[in-house]
Amino acid sequence: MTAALVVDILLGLILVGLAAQVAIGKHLFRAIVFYVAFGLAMALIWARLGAPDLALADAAIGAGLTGALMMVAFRRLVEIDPKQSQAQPRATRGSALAVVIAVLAAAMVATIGLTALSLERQPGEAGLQVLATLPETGLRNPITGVLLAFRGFDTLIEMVVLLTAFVGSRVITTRTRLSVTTISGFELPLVRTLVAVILPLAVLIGMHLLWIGSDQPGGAFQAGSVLAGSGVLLLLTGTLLPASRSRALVRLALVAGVAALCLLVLAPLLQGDAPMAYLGRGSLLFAETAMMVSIAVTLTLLFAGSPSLQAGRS
Amino acid sequence: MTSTVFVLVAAAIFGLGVHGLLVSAHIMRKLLALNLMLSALFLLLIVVPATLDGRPDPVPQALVLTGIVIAVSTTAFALALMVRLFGKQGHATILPDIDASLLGRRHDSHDNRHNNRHNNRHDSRRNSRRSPETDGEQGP
Repeated sequence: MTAALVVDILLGLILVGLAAQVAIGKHLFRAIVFYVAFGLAMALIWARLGAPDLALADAAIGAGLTGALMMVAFRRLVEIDPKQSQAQPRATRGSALAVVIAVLAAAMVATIGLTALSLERQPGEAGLQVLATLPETGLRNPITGVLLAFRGFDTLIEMVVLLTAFVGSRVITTRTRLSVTTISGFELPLVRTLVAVILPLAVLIGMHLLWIGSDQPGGAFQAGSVLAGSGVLLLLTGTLLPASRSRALVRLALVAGVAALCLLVLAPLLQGDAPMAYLGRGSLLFAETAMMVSIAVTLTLLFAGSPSLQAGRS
Repeated sequence: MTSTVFVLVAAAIFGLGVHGLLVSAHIMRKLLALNLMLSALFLLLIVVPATLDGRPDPVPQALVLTGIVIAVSTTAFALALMVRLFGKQGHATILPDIDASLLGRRHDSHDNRHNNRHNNRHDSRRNSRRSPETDGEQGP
């Protein structure tokens, strides 16, 4: 048994243990915290598997922002009914049938996966073509290549889904809370210093991820979620506050990603090319910047639960 | 061997997710369970295809990256729905007997439901918004 295999098994056990805590742990809030830990363990496994792009995305979005959204939703439940926090829902009802179904589902996934592994695995045709065609695009990160140069329509629809989710959330949210999410003690010098140190670093990391995304692991999604993380931090410390009146600038930021990708679809038509034909690195960076802004603003606003933001105490 | 280990891990997480989805009453726990199942499928998508130049195939990687963003979008929307539901009915749970009662008596006023013994618990939940001493959130 090699050392690498031991590491794999340990990582796998950690992930399964954390997943068990999420799925069948008693307290809802505990389950949410364990879900964040699960996301981080998942990021470690992506790194182990040689997929640093996914590691970055899962650490920032899967663990960080999904966890933050879950926690703030839990907080809103507690605000509506304070009982919620004490009467920790004993969420699971024992059911032998559910155990049987779960075991069968796991067996099904294991069978599919192991059968696929036992076959002689051919390299994916699409993946080979991506790697072969990538030098023509001038990019060096094949994942950015797939996302924007080869399968740009997928990315366009993805941004539409994000925008739709935001609009949907706005439509069904009746009351916008304009404060309350701030942590207590944000006036402390320590907290303000922390923000003053972390925020520039986060912005720098976000910009760096965007800039190197064409050649190295990184890109608009990772950059946008890092920036959204700093937005969440600003909301928690009261530097930014939710606002009830939407502003033109915020709306522009929300649709920037979709608009930029639509331009990317339409622009080649002027030259007589096919829609979404590849236009070079400059156009790609333009689209990625717009996507980063959209992702950052949309996720921050989803956390704030408001249509807009305003400056708070500085 | 690495692939085999992580296929088994994905299967275990998927099973845990299915179990959580089936047995938990609280909507947020169902969402957590769904997210677990998603993670398991992402893992499977990356581990199973053959590697190219020693790294996972870029096409499924891009798919999973897209999937992660879509997952957070839909989760955020579902959470907003849940908060709205909670504000409206006083609990954020899905229980089998609720669905049964809604089927035949969708337009009934809340008061009529006191007669239905299946609904007594939910009435106490609904009332718990007004009378906080009632335990608002307890599984059967």
